[in-house]
Amino acid sequence: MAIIYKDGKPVVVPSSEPGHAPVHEPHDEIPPAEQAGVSRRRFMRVVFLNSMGVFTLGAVGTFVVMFWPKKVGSFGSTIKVGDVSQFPPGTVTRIPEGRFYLVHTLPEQGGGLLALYWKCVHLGCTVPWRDAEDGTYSGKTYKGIFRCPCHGSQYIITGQNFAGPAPRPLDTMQVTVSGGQISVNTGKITKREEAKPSDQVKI
Amino acid sequence: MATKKSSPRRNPLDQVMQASAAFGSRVYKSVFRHSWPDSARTRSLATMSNVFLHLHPTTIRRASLKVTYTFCLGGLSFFFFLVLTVSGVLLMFYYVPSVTQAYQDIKDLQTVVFAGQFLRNMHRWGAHAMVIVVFLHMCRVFYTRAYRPPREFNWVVGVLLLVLTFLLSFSGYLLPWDQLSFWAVTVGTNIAKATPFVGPEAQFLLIGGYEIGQNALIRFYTLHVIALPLAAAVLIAVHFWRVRKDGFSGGL
Repeated sequence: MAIIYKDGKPVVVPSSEPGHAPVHEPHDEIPPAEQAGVSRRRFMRVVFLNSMGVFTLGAVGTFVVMFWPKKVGSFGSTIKVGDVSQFPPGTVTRIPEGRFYLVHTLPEQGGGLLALYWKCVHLGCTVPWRDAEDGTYSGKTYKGIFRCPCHGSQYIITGQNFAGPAPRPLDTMQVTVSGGQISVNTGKITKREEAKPSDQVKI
Repeated sequence: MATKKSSPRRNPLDQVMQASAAFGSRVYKSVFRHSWPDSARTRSLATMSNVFLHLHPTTIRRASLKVTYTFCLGGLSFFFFLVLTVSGVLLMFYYVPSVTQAYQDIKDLQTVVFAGQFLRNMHRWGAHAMVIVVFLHMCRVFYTRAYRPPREFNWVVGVLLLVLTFLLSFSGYLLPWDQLSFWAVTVGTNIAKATPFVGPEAQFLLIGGYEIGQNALIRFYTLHVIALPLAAAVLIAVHFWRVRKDGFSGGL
């Protein structure tokens, strides 16, 4: 039996087998002192390749994190709307970059903040706010309505539908108030069957 | 009156001519390592010793020259790639990938820049032609069974090049920043969003946000002018090299 080294790995060659004389290549011979454990060449190669692997993984990971955008600032992200004092009760403010209306309802309507996605729940047109028109829902009259120009769906200030083909109230977006600053997560849109005062964020 | 004397020295004009010929020959030899390619041997050397030509075999079979076998479709694909690279680089001198400027820059290219309309049309029709020719090239390889061993690896490289061609086409689509671009890429990246498990993340990374905007424009621009052409150039080199190494499939 003889041990030769192929690509740094010890290979046992049975010398008794006829026609299979061990091939001795001078550069494959390892000095006897190193035959006991891992050869120096193999050790260096393993260390080198693994280092390169770790480095490459790090570089790829860093690239993915770099490529992941942090500052998005458009529809789908969280938008800072402003200070609470800018939106007194009874106002409807159009926030175009977030495609929603920030509504602050009167105390008798719930007295809280609502972010209403401006897309009509019927077929998706942008619904404008009409200050001068009134709407009636469950016996009460509300000043100002959302009226869709496409098919005439109508909603009161809380987003509740009261006329036209709309099957449900306007969708809401998540509103957060922190330190008097309002931010709206336009990526978090909630459908609802009925507008309730509990949809509103109290301040 | 000066008398004509016989001199051992040569005519000065001859000397100048000889010196310049020697200089010219020295310059030629510093660039080319072979004599003028007028024999089979020197022609082979001319191909082998040139970095641009060496991807091509030095000799090919007579049967391979039959145009109706390949219809030069691979070569035409490469030709269109070159046309698109040159016209694209020229367009880059006037185009700024910004949402406030891009559309106006394209209009200026068509109305203000000398030969701008021609350049833009060349780039646009070249892109369409490249997609068509690459597709036909693939059909030819399929119908002549040139994808079979030992050429299966080159078929795979070719499929990657087809994908790169589509991606180059698609990323260029957004750059004019008009309604067609905007909605085409909105639809296209919504398809990416339908990927199982990582769809929304894939779309978010592609367009750098939740909807097509400045981030999407600069991402598509960078992919279109640097990343994808570079990848295509590397794969084209591998593709040509493998044609040489695996042999031409025709006329065997």
